[in-house]
This record gives sequence, C-alpha cells and structure tokens, in this order.
Amino acid sequence: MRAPAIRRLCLAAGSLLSVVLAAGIGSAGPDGGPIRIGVAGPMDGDQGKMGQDILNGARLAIDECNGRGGVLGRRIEIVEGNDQHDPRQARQVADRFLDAEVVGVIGHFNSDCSIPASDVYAEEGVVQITPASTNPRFTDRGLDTVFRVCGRDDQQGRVAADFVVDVLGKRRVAVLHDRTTYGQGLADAFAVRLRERGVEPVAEEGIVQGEQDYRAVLGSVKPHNPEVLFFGGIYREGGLIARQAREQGLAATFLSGDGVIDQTFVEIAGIEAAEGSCFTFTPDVRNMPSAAETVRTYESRFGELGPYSIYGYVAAQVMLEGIRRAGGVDGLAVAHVLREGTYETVLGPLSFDDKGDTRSAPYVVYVTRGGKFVQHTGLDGRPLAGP
Amino acid sequence: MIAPAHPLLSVERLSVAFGGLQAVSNVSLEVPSGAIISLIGPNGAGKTTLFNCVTGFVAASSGRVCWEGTPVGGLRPERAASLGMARTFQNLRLFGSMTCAQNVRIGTHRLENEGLLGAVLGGLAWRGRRERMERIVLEAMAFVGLEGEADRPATSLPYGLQRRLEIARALASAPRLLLLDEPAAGMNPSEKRDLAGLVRRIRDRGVTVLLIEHDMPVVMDLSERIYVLDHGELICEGAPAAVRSDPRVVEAYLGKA
Amino acid sequence: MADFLQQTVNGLSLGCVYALLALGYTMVYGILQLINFAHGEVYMVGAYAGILAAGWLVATGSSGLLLLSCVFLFAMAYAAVVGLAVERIAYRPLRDAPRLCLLISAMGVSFFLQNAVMLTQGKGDKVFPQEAYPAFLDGVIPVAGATIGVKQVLLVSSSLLLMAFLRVLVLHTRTGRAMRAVAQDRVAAALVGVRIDRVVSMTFAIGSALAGAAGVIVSLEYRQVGTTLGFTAGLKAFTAAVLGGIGSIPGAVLGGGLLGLTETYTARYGASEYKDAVAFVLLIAVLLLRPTGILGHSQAGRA
Repeated sequence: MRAPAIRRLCLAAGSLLSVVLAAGIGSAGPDGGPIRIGVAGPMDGDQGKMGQDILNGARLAIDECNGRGGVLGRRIEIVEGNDQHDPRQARQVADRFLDAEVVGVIGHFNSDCSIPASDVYAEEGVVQITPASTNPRFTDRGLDTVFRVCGRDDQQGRVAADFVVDVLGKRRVAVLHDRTTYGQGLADAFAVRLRERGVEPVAEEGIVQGEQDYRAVLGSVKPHNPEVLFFGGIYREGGLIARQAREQGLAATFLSGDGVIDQTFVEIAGIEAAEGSCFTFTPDVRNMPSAAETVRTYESRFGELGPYSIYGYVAAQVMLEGIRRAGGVDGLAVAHVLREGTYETVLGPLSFDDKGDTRSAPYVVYVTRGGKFVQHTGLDGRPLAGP
Repeated sequence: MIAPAHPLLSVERLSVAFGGLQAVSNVSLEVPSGAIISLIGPNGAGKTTLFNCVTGFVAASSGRVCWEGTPVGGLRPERAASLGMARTFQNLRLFGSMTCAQNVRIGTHRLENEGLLGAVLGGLAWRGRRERMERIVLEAMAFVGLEGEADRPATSLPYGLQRRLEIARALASAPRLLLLDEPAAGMNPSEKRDLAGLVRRIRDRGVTVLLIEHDMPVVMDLSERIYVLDHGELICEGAPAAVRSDPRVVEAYLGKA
Repeated sequence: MADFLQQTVNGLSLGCVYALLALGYTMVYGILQLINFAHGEVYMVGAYAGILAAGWLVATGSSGLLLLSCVFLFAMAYAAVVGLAVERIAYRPLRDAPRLCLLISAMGVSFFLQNAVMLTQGKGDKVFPQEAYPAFLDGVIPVAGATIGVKQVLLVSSSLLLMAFLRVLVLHTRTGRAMRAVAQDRVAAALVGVRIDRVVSMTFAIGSALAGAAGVIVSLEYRQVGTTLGFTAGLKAFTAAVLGGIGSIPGAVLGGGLLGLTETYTARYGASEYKDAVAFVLLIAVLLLRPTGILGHSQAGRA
C-alpha cells in the first residue's frame, strides 16, 4: 500500500514547511524584518510564460527598491505562488500567502484566478494589484483591497469594436470565445459595444479550451461569411483558430485581445495565417521614453520582454510606493493611500478610481506584419501616422 | 550403420516439484534416435509434467536433460524448438481463428530466418522463400491426410482431424524429435489404427517419437520401449511384452488386488 | 454539400491520428491483454522528438520532403525505442503478475514520461519550427466548394500507407504470423519456436513507431504540442480501439475513423461542447449491442 506512505510524506513535508515559515515569520517581526510581497500567476504549464514574465517584472522593481535600501528601512522579499491557472489552486495560493504574512499581492494573471483569490485577500485586508486580469468583475464587487494596473475587458472590447466600425469599416463580424471568465467577458464586452454601434454579430460561438481542432466550429461560422473573426481567449487557441480559419478558406480578419498577442500566437498560426491579424493591447512600452531604461535592464537580465513583464514591474512599483506613503504595512491603510493621489510609474503617472481601476485605460490596436506586432492605432483610436 | 554415440534425448535423474508436490521424481530415460518410445502411467503420474519439462515449459528442480549427450540447462520452449523438438498437446492448442494452412505455416517459423530489418523490408521480397514454405505446409498437411483442407478454419475440422492438424503443424518445423501427448484420446478404433500408422510413417521419415498414450493396444503395437510412471516415479521400463506382464504395472493400473 | 465534404475531410484527418494511435493499443492488447496506458505518452514523446529533429535538420540546411521524411523516421525510431524501453522496464518484469499491477505500472510510466519531457523540454508548449515547415503543405485544393489542404491529403495518405504497411507486415511476414500466433495462444506459439519476448518487443516497437508518426502528423497539423498532448489523445484513441473491437487491427482503423467523423460532425452540426459526450455515447451504444466492439472477436474462442 503506497497511499498512506505518500500521505505521511506529504504531512511531514507540510509540517516541515510550516516550521520553516513560522521560523521566518518569527524573525521578521512587526517591523525591522523584511516585508513580504506575494507574486502569483501560472508559473508552469501552457501559460507558464505569462506568470514568469510578471514575476520577473516584479522582481526587477523589488530588487531595484532593495538596492535603494528598501521601504521604510525594511527589505522587500518575494513569495512566489503558482496558481496553475486553476481557480481552486489560486485560493490555495492565497491561503499560503496569508500564512506567510504577505503585506500585498501582485497577481494573479487570469481573471478566473484573481477573482476568487481576491475574496481571501479582502477578508484579511491584504492589498492585491493585478497586472493582467482585465475582467470587469474583479473591481466591480466593491472590495476595498483590489487594484489593477492594466485595463478592463469592457474598455478593451470597446476599443476593438470601435476599431472594427471606424477603422476597418466592416459589418459582418463573428464572435468566438473560450468560455473562460476572461475570454467570454472580453467577447461579451465587444459584442455589446458592436450592437451599440449598430452592428449585429453574424455568429457567436464558444469553444472548448485545451483542444487542438477547432475546424468544426469554424465550419459553422463560415457560411455566415464573416469579414472579421473576433476571438476572446488566450494565444494557444487563438493561434490554432487563426491558422485553421485560413486553412478552411475563411478570409476574415482575425481580431483578438491582450491574451493572444504573444509571439507564440505567430508560431502556432504560422507567419502567413498570422499576417494582418489585429489585437487590442496597451501601447508599446518600447516607444515610451519613460520605460526605456527599465526595458533595457529587464532584457539584459531576463531575456525578451513579455507582454505583461512591464505590468508586473508597475504593479510592484505602485505597491511599494503605496506602502511607503502609508508609512506602514497595514493593508487597509495602503489601500486607502493607493486610491489617493497619483503614482509615477515607468508607464507614466497612474491614479486609481474608487473601484481600483486606473483612471486612464490605455488600449490601442496592433496589427501583425511579417510575424511582428506593430502598433496600428493611437490612444485616440485613429491609425498612427505613417512610420 | 554405426550407432550414434549418444541418444537423441536423455533425461537424467530429473525431478520437478510444484511447491510441496513432487510431480516427477528422479526419472531417467533415453530416447535413441529413430525410435518410438512411449511413456505410460495412470492419470496424474507426471507424464505431461515430464513433457513440459523436456520442452522447457516448466523448470526442473533437479536433474538434467541432455540433447545428443549435451546438457541443455534452463531450457525455454523456443530453445527446445530450435534444437529440433516439436510437440502436441493433450488438449488441442490450435490457433482457433486461423485456417488449417495458416496454423501449419506458423510451424515453419523457426525455418525462416528473418532479422528485424528483414521483417520490415525483406518480408515481401523473398518470394522464393515464401513458396518454399508454402510447399512445406502443403506437404505436411498431405502427410497427415489433410490435403484439400488448407483454407478451412482450423476449428471447423472434426476432432480427430484437429489432432492431425496439430501433428502437421509440429512436422512443419522439421523436428528431429516429436513429442505426442495422448494423440489417440477421443478417437474411435479405426481412427486409432490410422493414427498408429501415421506415427509409424513419421518415424519412417526419420523423426524420433516420444509418445504419451493411454490406449494400451496402440502403445504395445507402436513402441520399441516403454517407460511406466506412477506418482512421479519410474516404476518399470522395457520392451512392450515385458512391461505388459510386470506386476508393478498391473498394480499401478488396476490397484492392489 | 461543400461544407459537408469539408467536415468529412476534417473528420477523416482527425480520425487517421486516432487510428494510428488505436493500432498501438489494439496490438499490445492483442498480444498481452494489456491496456498500455503509457501509449499516449509515447505519442507525445514522438511529437517532441519530431519537433527537435526538425530544428536540427533546419540547422543543417535541409528542407522540404527530405526533411519531412527524416523527421518522420527519427520520430518513429525514437518512439519505438521509448516503447521498447517501456515494455522492457515496466511491463516485462510484471508479465505474470496480476493485471492490476501492470495497469498501475503503465500509469506510473505515463507520469514519468510526461514529467521527463517537461523537465528536459520545458513547461511551455513546443511549436514546430516555422523554417522547417514546408510551405507546400499549406497549399489548398479547392474541391466542389470545399478547401482541402495539401497537408490533409498528405497526412491522410501517409496514415493510410502506414496502415497498409502494417497490414502487410501482420498478414504476410514471419514476424506478423508470429504476432498473430502469440496473440492467440502464447504457449502453442512458444512451442513451435516463436520467441515470445521478441514478438512482444516487436509489437511495442511497431505500435510505438506508429504513435511517433501520429505525433509528427499532429505537430504538423496543429503546429503546437504540449506535454499533456498524450492524455486526451490517448483516451480518445483507446476509445477508438474499443469501439472498433480491441485486439482487431481493422477495428482500430474503423474505430479511429468513426470517432474522428463523429466528433467533427457533432461539433459542426450539433454543439461543439457535446462532441466528446456524443463520442462516448456512441461507444456505450456500440458496446451495448456488440460488447466486443464492431469488429471484435469474442474471447471465448481463445484456447
């Protein structure tokens, strides 16, 4: 019988871990010891890159801060949490963070994880800043401790819908989503705005995440002759759909959001099928003088900048500055000062509204050219002037 | 003709035990080349176990088996086959979903030499070899009296003919020693006569025969020498006439008077 | 009509992958009455091997059909070696143990392979290198309003070729005869000189090589593979093997095709979220009417 042995092992490992943690907390004390910040996201598996990008961004900001002597004279320490983009796992990560007495959390990546975990953090008054979860519900539930440094799906969906009507000038739009909180939320926000602009989607379909073959769904969309194929979801499925749509003779422009805009999308779709596909995303930080130095340091240390790396950095910047301004590690006090005033970040000045969303939600549209994502519209929604 | 220095098969002080049960104890016997030798005894005497041990299906607990005077230890069935042994089973072991010819064709397995690559590439190319194998199959079937039954499903044959098919399959491997386990079981008298004739013809084509049989007339008629087993022990050996009159044999078969 | 034709082609190309995998399940089951639950992982390993080989070959400057053939051969050989090792290490020592032990061993092997690949190849998805991907595969052949990919035609035909090759191997070679003999009666086969261990090894090697080929096909078809690739595909292929009648080679091909078509039609004309449910309902229905699967033989005839 193996099972009891394994359980014993787990118990032993668990108790060992708690001893270690308890020892760590003991030495930390209320002040003087390090301030712990949790960083959570999918750290392995198919979305592992996203979690790692955020972790690297946060690590860079925190290391820089420690280099300057930390906050309130205390060092900052990262506690890493892998939620494996599983909501249940996310709650466990949250519980573990509380055990480790983190002051604030940067994360999670998926809205599906950020939302359930936020209940745990709110209960204990721990500030949570998500660098990537764009679902409106995250900040729409009246919690005091939730913030986001990225945009919201309804803002993003809105920008995408306006782009279809104003820039592309197309009226036959098919909407697909992966049935996740993020994907469906984005697709719904997109469809709502489209209808406001007087365009009725020709088809709306959900797909099953994690499969490889979406040709049948595309087959049911094809007879409607869509000119635009909108997808709310993540790059893996996005790449497969863009590619299979092309294979099935669907000539529609592929349009998606920030979950798909990743080099892996191009690799999966292939350069030909990816060509011309459009994405709503935040403006290219590489074009921002304020971020130039951070990007350089990041790339020399961790390799190529991921789409959310800089948001991991900004979230950490804001968190640390909030702690400094609050003058202590009480979560509610930090949350309170975060809602006040403006925070200087590498992405420019940032301020939060009462919900915890940023007052300015920067989304622009990118287009894929030769396998690279090129910013196509400005913050005003109009195409950028020629290169 | 010079007698060969060693018998084709010799079993020396062989014992087989299953747990505490001594199935065969301390049995020695010799099968000279070109002979028909029989092994008789009541049910449970250990005859089939001895067969299984000689053909590598069960391991001996002590003693040894020699092939032309050379001990062959740790025998496995495929090794026994490659030495030149072939056998039939008390209860038939035909490949049920194959035709008669396919069954016999499996018997030619050890004659074909085909490496891993050959299996992939040469399997088709060697037309000549295939034809040769098919000739062997047809010849073996004709020899046991199954000509014309090639494409019939093996299990559709009457029982007596299935026994013959099993013999044909054994013969197709061109054995030097054929071990027959109760080949006459379930046959009527005329089939038994035919079978005896077949066994003799097998011997006449140069295949040595070791026979387990219950049917006394068949055994007495065919055998040059008979070994009698009871409770795993050899109780008597000798020419048919001598064995028939041996009181130990009578006792073993009929019980104490 | 064009749409139906399109979906049929899509379903068949999906079915071919299932069939190639189902063959491995069915062959091993036929010989050992073992459900080799690690087979899906061998397929995943094959896909990774193919992608790695493609990367190396591109670096040497080869391309096109030559590169593709080399990728196929390498992946098949690699998968075959992995399959052989799995049999040797995880199954052979347990061959006479109760079935349950083998099953547990099989699951252990699949976890091991998954984690081994994750450790050596990283956690994220692996993508078939763009430079190694022959452009002509993306061509399309318009047929009666449907667009049939050159890739699909090539993949279906290479699957069929492999299956035909397997059929010849099993029916007309000494190794194939030995396999059939061992499947029917291991003892009688040993008796006529068939080396059982060798036949079992051959069976694993062939089944795994087919899985390796399926792995390459899938990485060409979808460009992307992950370490969890083997799990669902393995489950589906096993379903296909049972549907067609486990132990039956034509049954595996039929079951694979049927499953691929059912899934595709359901996703297209029914609801995509129910396609797995419909596939399993089909399986249950077939098993209720024919417990041995469509082309399966009853085990009662076994000696």
